[in-house]
Amino acid sequence: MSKVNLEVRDNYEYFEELTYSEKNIKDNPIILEPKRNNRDWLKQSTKVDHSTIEENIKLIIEKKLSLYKYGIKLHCPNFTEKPYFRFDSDGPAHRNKTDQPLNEQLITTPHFNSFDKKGQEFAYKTDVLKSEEDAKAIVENLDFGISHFFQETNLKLNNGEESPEIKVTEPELFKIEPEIDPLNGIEFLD
Amino acid sequence: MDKLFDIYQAIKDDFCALTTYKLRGESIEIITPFSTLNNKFVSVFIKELNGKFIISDAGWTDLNYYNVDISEESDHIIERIFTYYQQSFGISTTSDKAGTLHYYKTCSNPKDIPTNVYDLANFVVGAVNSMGIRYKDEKEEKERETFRKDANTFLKVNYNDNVKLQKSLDDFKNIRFNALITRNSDIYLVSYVTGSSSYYFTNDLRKTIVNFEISEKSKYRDFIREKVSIINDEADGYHPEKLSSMMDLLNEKVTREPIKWTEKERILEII
Repeated sequence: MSKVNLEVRDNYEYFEELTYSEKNIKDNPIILEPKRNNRDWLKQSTKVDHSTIEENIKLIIEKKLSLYKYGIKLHCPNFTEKPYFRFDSDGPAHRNKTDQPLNEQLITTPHFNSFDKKGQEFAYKTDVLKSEEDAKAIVENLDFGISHFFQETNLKLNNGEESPEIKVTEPELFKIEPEIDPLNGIEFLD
Repeated sequence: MDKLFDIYQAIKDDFCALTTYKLRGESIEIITPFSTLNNKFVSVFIKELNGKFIISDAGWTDLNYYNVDISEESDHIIERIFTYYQQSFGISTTSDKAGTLHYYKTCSNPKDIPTNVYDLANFVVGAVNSMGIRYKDEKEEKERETFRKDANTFLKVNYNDNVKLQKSLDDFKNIRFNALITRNSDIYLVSYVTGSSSYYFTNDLRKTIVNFEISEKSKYRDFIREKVSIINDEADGYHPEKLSSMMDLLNEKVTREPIKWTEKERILEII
């Protein structure tokens, strides 16, 4: 069942402020590290300073190496257990259970995941993501995705630059060409 | 008639509009109109390989791309559901290099692709939904756990090393008592009774009665000095008016009147 996020529902203005008001990060570059339990994923989390809210907020970036897939999240554990705002470059389409016509309830990836006033998760595409060409560029390039995420959530770098440089602890990992076809190289028997 | 037909047409159009696709190199992703309980549309992936068509979930179920809060303590139940769905829809599995499980079907005739997509998507919906269900009653688990801990602590504090927790009599290994206290050659059997609802409470009471009854058959019966039951009268499931006949029965099986948790000091007079 899709759970209602009660913290978000009961503090909706606070949630909107957390998400869309100006925020800063100091770390630049952000250096991704292979996850300990799954080396097909790189991950890093960085402290976020909110302009009006004194809270422990983290920006989390996760990138899969073998396929074009990454996620960017904002997490404020004291407010709500799970990340409260996400960008998914790939993965399943989301169904927004709203009054909209059925065929408009389907939101394919790439998309942002947020919550509505009832605390229900919903996905949306910005105008940029609605453009097929721009969306493709964002899906295939983490830097573009980060830049778009920073715009959408009003995140900035302390030194005024728009978005951070992304590096990796083991640079050769960035040389792996991700696979486009998720069925490539897999043995299927009859 | 026309109006009714329009309704049908609108439904058909909207349903069809939910089916969409993404090209992924040699494969195509079909975003199906089937969605999971957490509102994710199921995708299946199709590729032609050596004259056959592969219809696969691309590992998304195993990788939890559907983003389910998995109830891991119920692994065995989920496994059974997966097997049931797999058999029902004739789904095969294979692993990739990273060990991710891919669920798939194959067919030779392109005409059979829609059937296989339909089956695989149905499988994914069932399998993904099964992972998110809470099979255990969390309130009951918590109630039981809390009371067990409190009662264990009470006994440990008062009887130290003479207490063995979750212990059975040697000749009835499958019957375990919450605590077994030994003093010289005397054995004291202790059973806790609690429950978050009267259903669970009564069940626990039944278990206690049966366990004490079985202990009568043990070769150690002459050493069993007392059979003590501790009734959690602070539990939500404690409704004495509903329990009276069962309590009478328990009274026949124990050597002492059941002890209420709020009067737990009485245990010290007995043991």
